[in-house]
Amino acid sequence: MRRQSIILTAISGLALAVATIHPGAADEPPVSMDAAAFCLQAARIFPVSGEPIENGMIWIENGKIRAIGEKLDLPDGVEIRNLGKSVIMPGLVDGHSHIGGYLDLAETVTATTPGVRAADALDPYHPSLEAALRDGITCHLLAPRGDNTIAGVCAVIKPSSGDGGARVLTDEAGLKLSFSSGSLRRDRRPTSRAGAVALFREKAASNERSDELGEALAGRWPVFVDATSRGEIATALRVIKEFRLRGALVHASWGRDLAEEILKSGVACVIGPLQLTDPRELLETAGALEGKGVKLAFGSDAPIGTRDSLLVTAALAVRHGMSRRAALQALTINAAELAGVSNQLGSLEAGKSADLLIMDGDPLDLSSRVEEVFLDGESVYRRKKAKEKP
Amino acid sequence: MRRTKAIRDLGVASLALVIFIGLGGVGTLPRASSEETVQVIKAAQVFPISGPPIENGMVVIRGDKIEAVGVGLPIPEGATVIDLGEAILTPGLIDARATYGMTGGENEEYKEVTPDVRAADSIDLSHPGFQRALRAGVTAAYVTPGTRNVISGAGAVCKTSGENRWLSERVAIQATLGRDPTRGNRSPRSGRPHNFYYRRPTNRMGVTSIIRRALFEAGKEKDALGLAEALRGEIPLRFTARRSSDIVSALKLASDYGFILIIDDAGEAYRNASDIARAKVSVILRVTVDPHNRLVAEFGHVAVDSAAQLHRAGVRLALATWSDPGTAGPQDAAALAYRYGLPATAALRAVTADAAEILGVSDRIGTLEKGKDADLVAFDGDPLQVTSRVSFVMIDGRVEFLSTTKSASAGPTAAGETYPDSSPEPASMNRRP
Repeated sequence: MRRQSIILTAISGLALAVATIHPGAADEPPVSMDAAAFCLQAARIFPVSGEPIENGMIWIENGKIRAIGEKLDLPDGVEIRNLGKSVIMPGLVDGHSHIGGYLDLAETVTATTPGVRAADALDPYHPSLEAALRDGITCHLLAPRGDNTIAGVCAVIKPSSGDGGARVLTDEAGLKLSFSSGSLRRDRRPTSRAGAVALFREKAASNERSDELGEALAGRWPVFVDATSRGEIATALRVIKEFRLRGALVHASWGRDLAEEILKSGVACVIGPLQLTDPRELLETAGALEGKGVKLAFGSDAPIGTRDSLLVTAALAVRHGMSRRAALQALTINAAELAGVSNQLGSLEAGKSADLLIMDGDPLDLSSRVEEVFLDGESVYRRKKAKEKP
Repeated sequence: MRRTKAIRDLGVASLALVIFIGLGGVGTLPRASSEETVQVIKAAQVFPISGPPIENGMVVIRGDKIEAVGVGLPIPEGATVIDLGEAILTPGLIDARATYGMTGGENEEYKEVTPDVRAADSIDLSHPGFQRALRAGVTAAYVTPGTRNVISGAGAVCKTSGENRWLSERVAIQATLGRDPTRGNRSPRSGRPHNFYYRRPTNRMGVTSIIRRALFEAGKEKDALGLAEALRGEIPLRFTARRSSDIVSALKLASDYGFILIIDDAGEAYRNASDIARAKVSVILRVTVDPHNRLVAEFGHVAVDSAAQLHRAGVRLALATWSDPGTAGPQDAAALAYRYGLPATAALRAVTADAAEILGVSDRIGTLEKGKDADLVAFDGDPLQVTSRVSFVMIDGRVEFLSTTKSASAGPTAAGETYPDSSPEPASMNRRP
């Protein structure tokens, strides 16, 4: 272990308990950065908000990014940690997840449950949150499952960096809707997709309409609409157009050939999880949508997706036509924008939270690994290496 | 540029072309866009349907609309000429009862009466059924909710290919008499019903009574979706009714409540032909290839000359097969009806102009007349002969299909003579896109 130089701490509510991060079998206790200010230097930095920086530096202070650039003018006492050949990028933002609450994220007795909140189903201490953190995910858009036509209210959560559990950044990130086949059942309305639309219309026109639906219809909240097959996407786009909704399609799996229509509707798409064995048409959707100008984010649909779903999805998308730049944006800032937290995180810019990943190679190369994860300026995970130089 | 480009030869004897095959919707032909490109389609016979057949006729198309139909018309400058040779050109066929296109469930089954459900909300325009229909000469199809609900919702008419597919999103509200809506329902004999399928109707009387009640209540409530409009005559009610007794029930309901009635399937309608004609009710007749199927009692006693009988009684008629058009589409329905006595003109009308009128889209399609959509089909022989095949399909002025295969000759063949190799379209017909 390197000897740390102890610097006067400026406690501002950060829990600096290294020991509370339970090391897994392959992990080391993270480096204790008692320092309120330090600097990371690495061969390549992807700020995402701008061009990649070769041999760049990031100055972190009090949990936020103070500055980023090729050369920074640092005051005395700011420790520089040289990460050598590593790559630094913003922490991943999962654009669609049911992590930490999967079984509790569908209230299916009735298909319209606008008032249920994903934040209420979250288990803040769920181990999958930590596991996701080790895969680089520093923020999640937590959504009710697509089992209901009007499924409930999404939340934005961050895993914990200390003693406490995951924390909720907002419990009103938008309204989840679903026109996918998972929302159709034989034991309650709707049994058909056309019936689901009729149900939505009925609720939208009703005098007793819920506040949440009202927010979405007024355009104040985004909607996240589950739609997988082409027919489902067509239906979702009809509803979006009819009610002038904004937001995103979730999955849009077979959307490759509907790229033009999706662009016209003005909504973004949260793509994923993609797998190597998916049909060609699914893998080409991201590239096709990007080509038309549709904004894209990635989502793991955790726990449906595997642990490293986001990076695998991104790599497969790039392999089948998406640009690298758009893929990196989809992993980070675009998802943050859809979640409404892009002023806080999603890119490496001064003023934003110091949520970032250190990787040992190109993030879109599947052989690259997450070496270290910083959350609000805290090193919360460090991958164990075989040997470490003193 | 003033050159007219002549595209040659689709004669019956040799269908050699200098142009590429247009497969699966968009050909590599000089495609007419919906801007003001001018095209002239020539064929040995042109059937406008709105008038008598025209020998060596031509159709002038500007943009996506028909500008003129006739013989010896002047060819506008810059026009693309498509000469179909010996083919017979007709308006695009209309499938008055498509069994494809709607995905995600054809019936919203939580209730038996769902007039506000719309097929348009879950039609998948990329459904392969539309492509198969296109190749069978169908340019527009009525896609509807199913027959498991007493009142299942509103059907829509859309084109089988092209850029602007929708003709009308609410054409008629579908209702069903007979036993189809009873399927899946149970009466609780003992114990508590544990799902919503424990409900009426469980028999034919129940079905009719539910319709009667729904109509009665729609008349009273101002905002009952769909049915109130039907009572005001603003949208037709299309009743799937097969047996004579069901048809009589439908006629009585129409007479009691004053809505516009269309009878769908109409298997035994020939028994009530004069009543139907007197009530000025239109019929979309299901023409089945197996009229003597006695295994399905629900279908009643279907007569092969049903169409001819209805026509003679003065009933306005459309024909449908309720089948995948790749197997048996409107052309086959017309051919069968013709074979069993429906006059040729009436048979062709029944899958073009009259179908368009019954579906309420006759301002756009159904005949080759000035101002209508440029939806055309060419056959390599008499369309009422099942040996004739579709060789050319145009929708909104775009060539959507053009065949280069040699066809089975329209003429008789001597015993022992082998048919020319009519290799069909590639397996892509049934491939999921």
